[in-house]
Amino acid sequence: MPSNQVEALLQRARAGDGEAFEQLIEPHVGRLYNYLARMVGDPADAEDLTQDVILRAHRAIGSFRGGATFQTWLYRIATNIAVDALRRRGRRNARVTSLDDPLQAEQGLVAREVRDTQRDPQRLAEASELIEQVQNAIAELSPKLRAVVVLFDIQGLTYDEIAQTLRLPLGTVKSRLFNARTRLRELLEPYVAGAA
Amino acid sequence: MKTCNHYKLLIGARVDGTATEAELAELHGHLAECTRCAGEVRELERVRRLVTGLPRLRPSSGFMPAAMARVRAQRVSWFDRLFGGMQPAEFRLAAMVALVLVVCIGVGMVALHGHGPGVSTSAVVVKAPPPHMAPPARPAVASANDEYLRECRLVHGALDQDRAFWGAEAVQLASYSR
Repeated sequence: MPSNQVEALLQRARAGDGEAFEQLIEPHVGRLYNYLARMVGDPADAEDLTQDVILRAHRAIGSFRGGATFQTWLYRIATNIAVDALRRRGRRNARVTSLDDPLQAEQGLVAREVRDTQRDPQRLAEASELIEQVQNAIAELSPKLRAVVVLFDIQGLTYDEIAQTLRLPLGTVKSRLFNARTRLRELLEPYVAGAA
Repeated sequence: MKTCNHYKLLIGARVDGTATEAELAELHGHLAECTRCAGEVRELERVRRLVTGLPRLRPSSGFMPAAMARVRAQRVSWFDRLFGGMQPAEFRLAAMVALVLVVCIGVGMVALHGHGPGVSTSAVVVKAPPPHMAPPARPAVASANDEYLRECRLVHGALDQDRAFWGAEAVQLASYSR
């Protein structure tokens, strides 16, 4: 969306125009959901949190002055919400549900009924062990390191954008990214050791 | 001779894909001699490929309409417009500053204007009546009592708002009219 169009929509949204806000936020919702899903490691929670981000952005759109880009501003709200959610859970690691784990039912533990993944490529990919291990490793990172690595490697933000989003100096962003990768290398050792 | 620690930043930049040509040339010179750093670069690049290779997740198809319905139903107050996007720490700080300001302004107003209308009854009873509320001179004859009382009511019209004070004055007025 061209910047002048964004600015016009922002002005209308600040004045309380809900339709303008909808047009502004819609292109970002998919990316925000992906970010939150990777941050908290749970797709269902990610929908609730994405909803929270949208509602909070709507409430606060009047206070957005354009010092950062609209996308950066949304990521900042999303990061705050994700970190709060992780804190509320009372543990640093995100909950990761394995498709291989049995379900707790009234009659005891039963095997999950997983849909035919041959017809659903996304679920096939999600079900693969490697992807699950990578997600588990990301969930092992502290929220500070996790946010940086997800924003850079998955969301594709630049150092500068991450620095603005997390309100960190550029050097801190780089060092956190390096530390996050080093930690992931330890956690994923069987998959990366001796990589060619 | 530079140690491996010196090259950490360059290794990070290379893995991130942000190293300049000069930085890459400097790093490659070191990597040619240091198998440990060369191995670290390979493994970190592999980590990056694994993370960037995660599939993009999407919300369910009904998510967006439901989310927008909630947005339309949401009422936005002026307070939310000002503070809605702030993170909790900032919010708490802003609220604390606001509270301190309110307290300071309140204390300042009390210091400037003294007691307001909400002073206690006991304070009024002890205090002498203000000059503009003092009763008029006692009438010489009894027939003037009605006029005197009417005047008193005009002068003390404001006392209706302060029943305690009016009670004390009424005792006084009764003694005058005798």
